[in-house]
Amino acid sequence: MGAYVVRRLAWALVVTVGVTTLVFFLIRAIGGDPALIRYGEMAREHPELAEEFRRQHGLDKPLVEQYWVFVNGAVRGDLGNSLYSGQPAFDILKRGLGVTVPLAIMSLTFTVLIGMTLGMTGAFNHRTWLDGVASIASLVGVALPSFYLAMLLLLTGGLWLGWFPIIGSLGIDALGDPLGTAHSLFLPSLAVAMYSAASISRMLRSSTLEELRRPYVLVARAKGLPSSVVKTRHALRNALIPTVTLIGLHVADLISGLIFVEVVFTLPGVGRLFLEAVSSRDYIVIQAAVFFFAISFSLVNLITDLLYPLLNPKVRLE
Amino acid sequence: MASKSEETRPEDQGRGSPVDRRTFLKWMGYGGSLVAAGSLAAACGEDAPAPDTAAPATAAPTTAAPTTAAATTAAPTTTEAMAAETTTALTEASTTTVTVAPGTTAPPPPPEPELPPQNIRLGIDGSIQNFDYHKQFNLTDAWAPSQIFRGLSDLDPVTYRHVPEQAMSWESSDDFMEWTFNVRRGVYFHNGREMTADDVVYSTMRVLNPETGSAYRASFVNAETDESLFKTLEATDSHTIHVTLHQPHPRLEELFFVHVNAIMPQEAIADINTYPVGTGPFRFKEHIPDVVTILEKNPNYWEEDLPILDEIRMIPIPDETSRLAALRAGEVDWIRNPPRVEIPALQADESLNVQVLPSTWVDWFRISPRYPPLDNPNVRRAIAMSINRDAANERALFGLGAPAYTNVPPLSNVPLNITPPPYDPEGARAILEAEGVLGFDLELTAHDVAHIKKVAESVAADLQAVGINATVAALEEGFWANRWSQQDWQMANSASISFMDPGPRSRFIGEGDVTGYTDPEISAWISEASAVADVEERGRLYSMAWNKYLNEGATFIAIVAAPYAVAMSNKVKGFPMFPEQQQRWETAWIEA
Repeated sequence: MGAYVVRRLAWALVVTVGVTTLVFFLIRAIGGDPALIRYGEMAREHPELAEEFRRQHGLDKPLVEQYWVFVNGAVRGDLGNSLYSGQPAFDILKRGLGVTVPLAIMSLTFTVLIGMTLGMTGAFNHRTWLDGVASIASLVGVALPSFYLAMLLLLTGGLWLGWFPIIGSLGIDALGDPLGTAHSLFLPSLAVAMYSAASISRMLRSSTLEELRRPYVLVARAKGLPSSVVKTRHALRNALIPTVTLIGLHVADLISGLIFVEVVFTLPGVGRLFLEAVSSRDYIVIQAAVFFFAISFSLVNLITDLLYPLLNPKVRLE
Repeated sequence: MASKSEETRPEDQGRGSPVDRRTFLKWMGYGGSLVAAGSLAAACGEDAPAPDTAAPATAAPTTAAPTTAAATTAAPTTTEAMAAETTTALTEASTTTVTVAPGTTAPPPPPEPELPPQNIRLGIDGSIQNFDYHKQFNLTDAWAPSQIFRGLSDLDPVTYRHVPEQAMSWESSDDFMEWTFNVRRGVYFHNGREMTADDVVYSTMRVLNPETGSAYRASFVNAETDESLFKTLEATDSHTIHVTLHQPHPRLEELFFVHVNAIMPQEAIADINTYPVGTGPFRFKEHIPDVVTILEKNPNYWEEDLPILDEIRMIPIPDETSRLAALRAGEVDWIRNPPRVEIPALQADESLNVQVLPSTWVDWFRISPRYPPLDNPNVRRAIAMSINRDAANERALFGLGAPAYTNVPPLSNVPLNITPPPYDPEGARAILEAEGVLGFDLELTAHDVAHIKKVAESVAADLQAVGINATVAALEEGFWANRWSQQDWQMANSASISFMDPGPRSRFIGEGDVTGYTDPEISAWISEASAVADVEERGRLYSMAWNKYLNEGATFIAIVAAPYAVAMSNKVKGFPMFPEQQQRWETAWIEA
């Protein structure tokens, strides 16, 4: 187990390095000179402004040399300074994480709670009206894009009902004021969670129904075990394995969902940071954000894999 | 002693939300219980324990009482400005200019004894990243610095002409080769030191220094030689600046306008981007990137009884629908750029005050003569005749903008008499037929930004109607900038904001024409106009230049001037609107 975790962590490091390297070169290859974006039409009439900008930020150096500067700094924990604000990318990323991490945790919690509730309701009440309600809710969740749902939730919960803040950014202080943070992040988390929750509920419903038809369930019932024990301790536990895999995969959806939701709810998280950095070609901030995405995705996959043996002792991690 | 939970969070101020944290937790608890109970009940019928929902309550806002009495119309005494030597040349305009000072033309606040807390929250459309006013490049970055810093001159909100601000007056020789600026006494930086002429000289030289990377340096140098306009720039005493020039400049005060040349203290320059120190009506208090920028009243501001507001909070809300929702929910008091489609409905809402003004933001196209048949002036003229500007205004700006024929703003302080090619699709088609180019392919390279893209689509529809196979390639900012820079476009559109004076923008059709099209006569008129002080004469020269350019094969076609719109609570008073979209908050206040 220990060797497995070490090996996977090593792979996570390789993935992170690989992805950040790829993005380093790709973002420069696709075009869109940050100096030209900054100075706009003025850069054509006064090219010296753009040249000075490139010189100050080392963008006039060969690509390999720029990469070496990036790697050299990253190893020492220095991801560089934003091309526009001049602030250290690490500080910018840290501020963004202060919003994105609690938002991701709440979203994942909602994803699991809502997804499992709907899935189990459908499976354990197969072909009843409860199953119908759960199925319709799942379909609606899959059909509604997160940015549209975010807007609906903002207008209903924030503007019309007035229960939640519209400007989420002002209430985020996960450590100092966790309740206020939860209040501010409630609607955004729900908006991010709904799509994944709907997918998970559909997966859980079908896999649970499949398990309930297996012979071991019949044996358990024949032994006189209560129905609730048969469903939860036997069928549900086995049905959770593909569901957990799906939850791990949905972390990627969650990250992309964060980008839109952070814009709608005015949350200064890593997603919004990334979006703004891409449009202004702030290479340094893009690299820092990708670094975070790569690490978090690798770690979530590792955690997902580590959960398998807990759910099913037959699974061995080697 | 107030506990932490009793403090008011910024988003709670003024919202009057019916749900406090306790209620929220209760609902969370019920929700969690339902989820858990539903899950378990579905499986085994067991009840789930209810979570503890106890939570500290949020107290009512505890904002400070207003400390500022309602301001009167205290006007700086500037009658001596621009005296004697300039009176012959600076006619009507300058007379108006020196007798009206900024702040005096804004509506006077009422002398009510009790004002509510003078703290205002602004919903702005982007994040503030830069406080160094000499290096700022976009409107959003100007929001805070334009309150913190000021210059020797400012724009009058009624006449749109430059008037003394932190100068008492200025005067020039008859030939506009020598200028003297009398710096106002009793103006203090936020660090407590009095501003002197040396600070103005230092700030000007900083803008001029290429290493500063200021976009405004272009205003201070000769476009052809890149040499400074100043032969000498010196402080002759603590409050007097003497300037000699290499060439006449009849409006030198424009180079001391805050947006071009903000006055900064040398001792604070090292940290100016993180802790800006200026002489403006508000001083820097706190900046949490992407969250909020807080400015507080400068109690030592030179203008008596101003500012009225105690605190300004600038909150970035990038999404326009969210911005409007925040205003309607009372989470902010003022927003810039509400959704244009909503403006008529907002204007009917009595709780809001919505103001719309034609701005200096003009949408335009460039036509590249590099690509045949666009090298043919008749084809370019046919394109100009095809464009229905009213339709573009309706389609892209919901009729809130104004048709534009030049990129000189409609409210320019120099009146132009423009006679552009008429909108005549039949005539355009006839020209294309005569030139044998009917049906040629034309790509419109557009910014993929909402209204700019729509303008391009509207123009493409017009061109298709006269027989040009026009398509729109809407590009993201970075790709557009690349293709623009490499001249890899047949017809490209963008939009730009300009100052009120036609001088800088007229360079577009003179020596600054990026397509390489030049007409010596046009360039000569523009150059001559820049050295003339008389407003009518300048207008005549610029009009001649623009009319010749537009009618003899323009490579630049202006389409519409976009509106500048703001929406605010009807309790916010005294906010002046400028076509250039500057922010001047010192005269604003919040009504009871």
